[in-house]
Amino acid sequence: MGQTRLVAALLLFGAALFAASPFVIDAAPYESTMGLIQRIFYYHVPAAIVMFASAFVCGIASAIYLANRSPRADRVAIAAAELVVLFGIIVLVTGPLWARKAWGVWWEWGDVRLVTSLVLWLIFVAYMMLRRFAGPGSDVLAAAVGVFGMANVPFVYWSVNVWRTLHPKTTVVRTLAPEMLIPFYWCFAAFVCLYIALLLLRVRLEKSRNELEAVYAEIED
Amino acid sequence: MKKWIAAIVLCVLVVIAPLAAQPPPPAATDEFIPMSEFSDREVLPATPLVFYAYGFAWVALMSYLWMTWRRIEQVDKDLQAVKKRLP
Repeated sequence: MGQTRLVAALLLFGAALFAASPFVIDAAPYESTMGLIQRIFYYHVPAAIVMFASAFVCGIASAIYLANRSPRADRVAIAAAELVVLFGIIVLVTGPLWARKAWGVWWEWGDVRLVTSLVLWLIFVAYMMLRRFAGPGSDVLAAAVGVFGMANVPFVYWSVNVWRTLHPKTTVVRTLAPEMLIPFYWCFAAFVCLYIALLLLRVRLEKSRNELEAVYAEIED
Repeated sequence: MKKWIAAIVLCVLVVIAPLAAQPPPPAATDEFIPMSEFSDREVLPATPLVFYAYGFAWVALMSYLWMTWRRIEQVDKDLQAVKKRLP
């Protein structure tokens, strides 16, 4: 019951922050060269940070599962992997919408950040497909993929500092003006609240599924 | 005499170098093109793109929340039904 209340509170708080975010963003100044289109940044970057964090949650939970076969760690890993796919698709859709105006193209295969982000997303799509279709033993195989996916995150993050292409460097957030930092942290808080609430909900779903499987097994015995 | 020639060459270079370093002038315009006929990129409005980006994030998150809720309800319903079959 306590967890249900926590999820409801996080969902309400996150949704309220999210609903107010366009007004908070509207109060921020326009970026000098990109103008209005730069405002996609306030959703794109928090979604990317949450995607990276979720990949870490999945990777760590997968490593724990590989070490001691904890069902709880497995539930957290599958929930986090699904959320990497969800927040990843937000990143991969909002990014090209921004790029179309700012760079003149929807997608640039020469940009390492774009391509490595897509690869990271595909790794977690592979994780989900393994869990769905690979049959018995897929949990262990998927856990290894989860650890591999987590190991990719630093490469995606640092790619913009090593290969200077179209994406700005990782220092861009630190250089934001205070009026731009307020909507950024506002949206970041909204995404984090929603992420935690969705993670808890998804873990709850997996727990119910495990219970259902256990009851079915009991009936068969 | 050599000093004079060197001084003249130096003066010419000082004058010519900045001129050579300047970007070429824009091509002469022989016609005026209406903005509506210009390339897509130049006239592409940002507002719909920002709207689509925000809208997509909203729809994705709310759809996922709704789907997860539905799945939980379904599994709980199945669980209750199966538990009744247990002796």
